[in-house]
Amino acid sequence: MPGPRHPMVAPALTLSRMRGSGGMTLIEVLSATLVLSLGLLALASLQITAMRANAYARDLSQATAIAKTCMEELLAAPYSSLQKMTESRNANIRGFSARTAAEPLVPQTAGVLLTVNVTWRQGERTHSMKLQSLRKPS
Amino acid sequence: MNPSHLFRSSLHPPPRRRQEGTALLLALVFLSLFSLLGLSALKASTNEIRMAGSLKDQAVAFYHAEAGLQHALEVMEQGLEDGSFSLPEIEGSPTSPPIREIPAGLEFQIEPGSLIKTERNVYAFSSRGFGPQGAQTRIRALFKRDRESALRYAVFGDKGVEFHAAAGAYSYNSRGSGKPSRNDNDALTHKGSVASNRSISLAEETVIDGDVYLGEDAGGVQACIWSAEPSGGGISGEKGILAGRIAPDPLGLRTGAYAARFNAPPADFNNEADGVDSSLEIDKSLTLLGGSEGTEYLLDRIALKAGAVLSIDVRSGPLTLYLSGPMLCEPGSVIEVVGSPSDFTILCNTPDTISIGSGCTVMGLVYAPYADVSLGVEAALYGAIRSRSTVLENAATVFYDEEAAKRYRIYKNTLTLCGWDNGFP
Repeated sequence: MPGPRHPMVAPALTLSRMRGSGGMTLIEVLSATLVLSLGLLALASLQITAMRANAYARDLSQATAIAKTCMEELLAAPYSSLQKMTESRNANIRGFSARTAAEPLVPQTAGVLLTVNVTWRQGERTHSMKLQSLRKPS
Repeated sequence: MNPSHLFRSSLHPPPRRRQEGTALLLALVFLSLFSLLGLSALKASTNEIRMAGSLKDQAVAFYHAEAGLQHALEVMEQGLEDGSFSLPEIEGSPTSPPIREIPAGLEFQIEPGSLIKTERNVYAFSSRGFGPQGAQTRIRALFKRDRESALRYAVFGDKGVEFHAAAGAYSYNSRGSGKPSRNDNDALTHKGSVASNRSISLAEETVIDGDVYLGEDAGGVQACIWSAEPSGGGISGEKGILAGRIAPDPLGLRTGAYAARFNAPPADFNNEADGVDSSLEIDKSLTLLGGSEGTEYLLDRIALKAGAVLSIDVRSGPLTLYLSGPMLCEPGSVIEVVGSPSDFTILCNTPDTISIGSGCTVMGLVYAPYADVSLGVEAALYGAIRSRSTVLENAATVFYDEEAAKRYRIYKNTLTLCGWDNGFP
C-alpha cells in the first residue's frame, strides 16, 4: 500500500534533506569565504608588492635619466667651471635630489672625477644610484 | 520498493548533496584566477625592475667607458708633450706605468691595438666600460689633434700692443667680401681679436671688434690691459680671456723648418728668375706674380716711396716674402693684393722695424715675431699682424682676414674628441 508509506518516508526524507543540505551550505559558505578572504589578503599583499616594485622601477628609470642628464651637463660644461666647482652641488628635480661633484684628481693636472648621486624616497625607504666618469683637462 | 528511490537515496547523492562544495570550488576557482592575475602583475613588475636596473647598469658602464676615453686622451696628450704618441695600455703593462692612479670604481679597458688613423688628422680607438651585473658598453672615439693658426689674432704683440685714439681692429672674410670699411656691418665678422703676452693699452675711442686675450710672459706673469675708457668700452667681445703663455714665434723663424728656409741658398728662391733684387725699392709701381706652386723671394729690405704702389697678384698661387731686414712704407704708399690677402705673407726674422706710414693701405699677413710694427695715422692693414710689439697710431685700422686662420696652422699638444660610435659599422 503505497498510500501510507509515502507520508511516512517523505517527511523524514525531506527533513533530513533540508537539515543536511542547509547546514552544509552555511559551513560551506563560511569556509569558502574564509579561504577566499585569506587568498584575497595574500593577493592584496602581492598586489602591493607588485605596485611598489613598479613604482621603484619607474623611479629608478627616472633617476637614471636625471643622473645621465647631470653627467652630460658635467661633460659638456667648460673645464674651467668644473675647476671652480669646489663643493658638490645639490639640485631637486621632481622629488629626486641630485648631487653632482667634480673632484680634482692628484696630481692637479690630471683632470677631474665626476660623480652624480641621485637619491629619492619611496615611503620609508631611501634609494640611491651613482654614475661616475672622468674628464680630462682642456 | 521503488528502485528509483533506492537509487536516489543511497547509491547516488541527492541533487542538493551533489552541489556540496560548489561554493568552495567556486572560491578556489576565483582565487586561482586572481592569483594568476596577481602573479602576472608581479611578473610584469619584476620585469620592469629588471629593465630599469639594466638601464642603470648600462648607464654606469657607458660612463665608465667614457672615463676610459678621457683617460686615454689625457695620457696621449702627455705623450705628445714627451714626443711620443700612442694608446695607453692600462692593463698588464709594466713598461708603461699609468701616469696616474685611476680612481677606484671606474672599470674600463682601453682595447689594445685599437688606435687607427681614419683620415687626415682623425684617429680612432675603442674603450670598454663595465657596470654591475655584467653590463658592458663599447665606445669607439674619433679624435683629432688640435691645430691653431700662427695668425689667429688680428694683432699680436709679444711685448705689447698699443692702440692710439680711434684706432681699431675689425675682421672680415676676403672670400666673401672685398675690402670693408669700419661701418660696413654686412662684411664685418667680429673676430678682430687682439692678444699680448705683456700689455694691451687702449686709448680713447678705440674699437676692438673681437676678443682680448691676455697671455703670460716667460716668467709666468700675466699680461695686463689698460683702457682709457673706464668701462673698457669699444671691445665687442670678451675683455680678457686668460690664454696662458702664447708662443711668440710658433712657426720658428729662428729655430725650426722656417729657419732652414731662411738660410737656404739664394738659388732656391725665385729672385733671380724673376729679376727681383734682394733690396726691394719701389718708386712708382711694381707688380709681383704668385706662381701656382708658390713664389718665394728672399729680401733684406723693402722700401716703398711716398705714393708708390706694390701690386701682388695671387690669383694663380701664393706669394711669400722672406725678409731679413726692415720694411718701410712711406706715407700714402699702397701694397695691394689681387686675390685673397691671406695668400700674401711677409715673414720677417729680424728685430728691425716694420713701419707703415700714415694713410698707407697694406694687404697681406705680416709675421714678424722679433720686429716692432707701427701703423701710421689712418693707415689700414687687411690681413693680420704677429709681432714683437705693435703700435697703431690715431685712427689706424687692422682688418683681420678670417682666411688667415686657415694658413700657417700648427699642431698643438692637445686632443679633442670629434665624434664617437659603437665601432660596429
